[in-house]
Amino acid sequence: MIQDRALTKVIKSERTAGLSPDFNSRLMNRVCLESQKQTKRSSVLGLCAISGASLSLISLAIYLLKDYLTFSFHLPVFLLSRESLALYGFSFYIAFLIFILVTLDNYFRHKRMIKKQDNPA
Amino acid sequence: MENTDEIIYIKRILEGEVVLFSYFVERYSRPIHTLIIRIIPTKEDAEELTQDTFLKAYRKLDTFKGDCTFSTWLYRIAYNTAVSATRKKKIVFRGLEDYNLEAISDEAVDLLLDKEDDENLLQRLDSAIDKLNVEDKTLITLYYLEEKPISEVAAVLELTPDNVKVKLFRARKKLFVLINS
Repeated sequence: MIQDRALTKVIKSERTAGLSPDFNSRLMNRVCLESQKQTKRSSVLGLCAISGASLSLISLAIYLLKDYLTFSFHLPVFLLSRESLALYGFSFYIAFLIFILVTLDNYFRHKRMIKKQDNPA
Repeated sequence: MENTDEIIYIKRILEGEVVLFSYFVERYSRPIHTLIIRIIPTKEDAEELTQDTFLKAYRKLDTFKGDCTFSTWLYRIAYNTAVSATRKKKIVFRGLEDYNLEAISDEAVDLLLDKEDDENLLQRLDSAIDKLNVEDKTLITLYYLEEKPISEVAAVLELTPDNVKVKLFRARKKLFVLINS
C-alpha cells in the first residue's frame, strides 16, 4: 500500500512551521524540575515511612511493657568508692581514646574522599 | 541494536542521569509533534500536548518494560494524550460510516491516491485527511509518515494487525469519498 504516492507526499510535506526553536530546552527544564520534584517527594515519603514505623514500634513497645509484661526496672546503684572511681576513670579514658580514634578515622576518610573527587584518575 | 541502546539510556535515566532524556527529546519531539498536529490542528495546543507527552513519558519511564520499542510506547502516550484533548475540547469529526465504502473499488482508490503530480488533488487530499477521525488520522500518519510496520501501528492503537489492515483500507476509501464529495 506504500505505493500511494500522493498520500505519502501530502503526509510527508511540512504543513506547519514545526516546533518553536527553544522547545527542546524548555522541555528539558521542565523534565529537570519534575525530577527534582520526584526526588523531594520520595524523600518526604521515606521520612514519613520511617517516622510511621518508628512511632508504631514505640507504641508497640509501650503497649507490651504496660499491658503484657509485668516486671519493674531497677536501675543499677552507683557506689562511689575509691576502687570504683579508679574503674570509672579507666572506662572514661578508654571511651575518650575510642572517640579520638573514630574522629581521626572520619577526618582522614573525608580528606581522602575530597582528594579522590579532585583527581578522579 | 537501537532499542538496546535506548533501554540502556532509560536505565541510566532511572538511575539519576536525567540529562540523558534529552536524547529522546531530540530524537522524537518532531515526529510526535507531527502526529499530534494532525489530530489537534492548533499550533500552540499541539506544542503543549507534545510537551505533555514527554512529561508523561518521563514520569512513567519506570513502567516501560521493553516489550515494544520505545517509539511505539511514546506514540501510544501521544495518541492517548491527543485523544483526551479532543474529548476535552469537544472536537467533533465528520462521520463517514453511512457511506457504502464497500461499493468503492480498490482500483479507483489506488489510482487516485497515486497521482503525486496533481497539485489540486494534493490540496484536497490534505484537507480530506483533516476531516478523518482521530484513529484514521493516526493510522495514516504512522503508516505513511513514519513508515511503521502494521504490527507497530497495531501496538500504538491497541488493535490487532488484521484490524489495522481493515481500518487502513477503509481510511483510504474514506479519503476517496471526501476528495470526491
